[in-house]
Amino acid sequence: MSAIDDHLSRVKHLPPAPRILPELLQLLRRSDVDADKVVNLIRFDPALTAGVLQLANSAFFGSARPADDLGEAVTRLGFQQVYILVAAVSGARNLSPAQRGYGMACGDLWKHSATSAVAAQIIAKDLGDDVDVVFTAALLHDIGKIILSDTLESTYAVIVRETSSNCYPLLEVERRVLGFDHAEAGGRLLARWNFPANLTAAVAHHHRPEEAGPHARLAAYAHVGNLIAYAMGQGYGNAAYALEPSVTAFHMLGLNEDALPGYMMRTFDEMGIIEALFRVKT
Amino acid sequence: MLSTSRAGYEQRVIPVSGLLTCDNPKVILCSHTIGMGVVLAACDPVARIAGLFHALLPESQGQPGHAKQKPGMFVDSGFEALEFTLKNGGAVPARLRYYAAGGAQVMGASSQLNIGGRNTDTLKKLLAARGFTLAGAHLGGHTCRSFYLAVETGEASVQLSGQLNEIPLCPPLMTT
Repeated sequence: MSAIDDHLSRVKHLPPAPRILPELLQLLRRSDVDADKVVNLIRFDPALTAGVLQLANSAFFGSARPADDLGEAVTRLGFQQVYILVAAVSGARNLSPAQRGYGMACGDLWKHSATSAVAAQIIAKDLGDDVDVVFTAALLHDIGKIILSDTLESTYAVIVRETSSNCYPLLEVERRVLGFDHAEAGGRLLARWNFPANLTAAVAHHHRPEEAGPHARLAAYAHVGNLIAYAMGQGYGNAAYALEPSVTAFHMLGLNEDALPGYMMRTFDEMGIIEALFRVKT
Repeated sequence: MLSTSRAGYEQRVIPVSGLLTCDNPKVILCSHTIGMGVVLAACDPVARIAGLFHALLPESQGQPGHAKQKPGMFVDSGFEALEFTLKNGGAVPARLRYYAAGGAQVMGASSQLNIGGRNTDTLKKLLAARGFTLAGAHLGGHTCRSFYLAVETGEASVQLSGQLNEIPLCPPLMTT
């Protein structure tokens, strides 16, 4: 048993899997998307149902007649909006609690993840890639932190010293303390949840996309999304020297680093809308 | 300590790209998660008015829409808007005391990604062009910070991520 599996088996309460995401992704991949199947996936989850109805009736999608039926709300919003909403609400359940081992208050990891997802999605739209998959990979890229946080809480002082004073990237400090890092742990967690190989690989290699094999491009999106979120001040926690940017990730996406400020501004604008819609705490 | 709540004082948090001026002496202005971004704060100890903005990027060139809607997003437009708003509120430019924090390098040393360094450089150039000096600053390094400014006393401090103690940037400027 590897160190990560050993760690996962010792975690008392593994977070509930956002199982709906891979199922919904698979449904939406089909050319003939069946709206009833989408509705059936969502309807048994009260929070998701409420979220879809609330969003469909929000001023953003304003209509004279309120949508009180889930099917109508899904039709009004369109499948892509529904997917983003479902991903956001499912992700928020796992990512919202405080991650004390990383010095993150309640909502910090969620805000960082959502910012990464929005940034990556904007780039994917520009480059003509699958925005839903990119959004999901970037949203879940730090999911490993939720299972390492408790363990790292006892070594908080070491992490602060190593990242702040000695300028070691967080990843390296994790490896030194635990023997593995949050990216590897996140990948393993998604594999346990039976997420598809592309998302598992993108999360596991979001710090080194070139190691993600056939899924390197998706990992590069998660990397650049993560980087933009940090650049916008989201998700540092106590990890002062947060990230070693991968030049390869930029090359893989054909992006120039000069493009970064423009994407930061567009992400800022989109996050404003998302926060207003979902009332995410800042 | 400005970071802990004081009885009778209210903390007002200015988010990234935000700008706020305030003449309520019972307010402590603050901004958090200042990484590569930079905070510039100013206060007039006589008029008892203070303000700050938390910029994300150095220059608004080519972004007139963003600069108009959110002047605090950029160092240059934030600087102008802060000065203008404080003057409108009764501050005298010659009396303004400036404080700055942030501009950390939280990623690798690539020049394009060193937005923190570019934010700091732009800020220093703007201050120098107007002949202003900083009364207190905590710039550069690799650490994320929080910044606090007491409107009543002009006391300013920063708190580094993961640390409990505050670093004072200047002593109180006025007696209450």
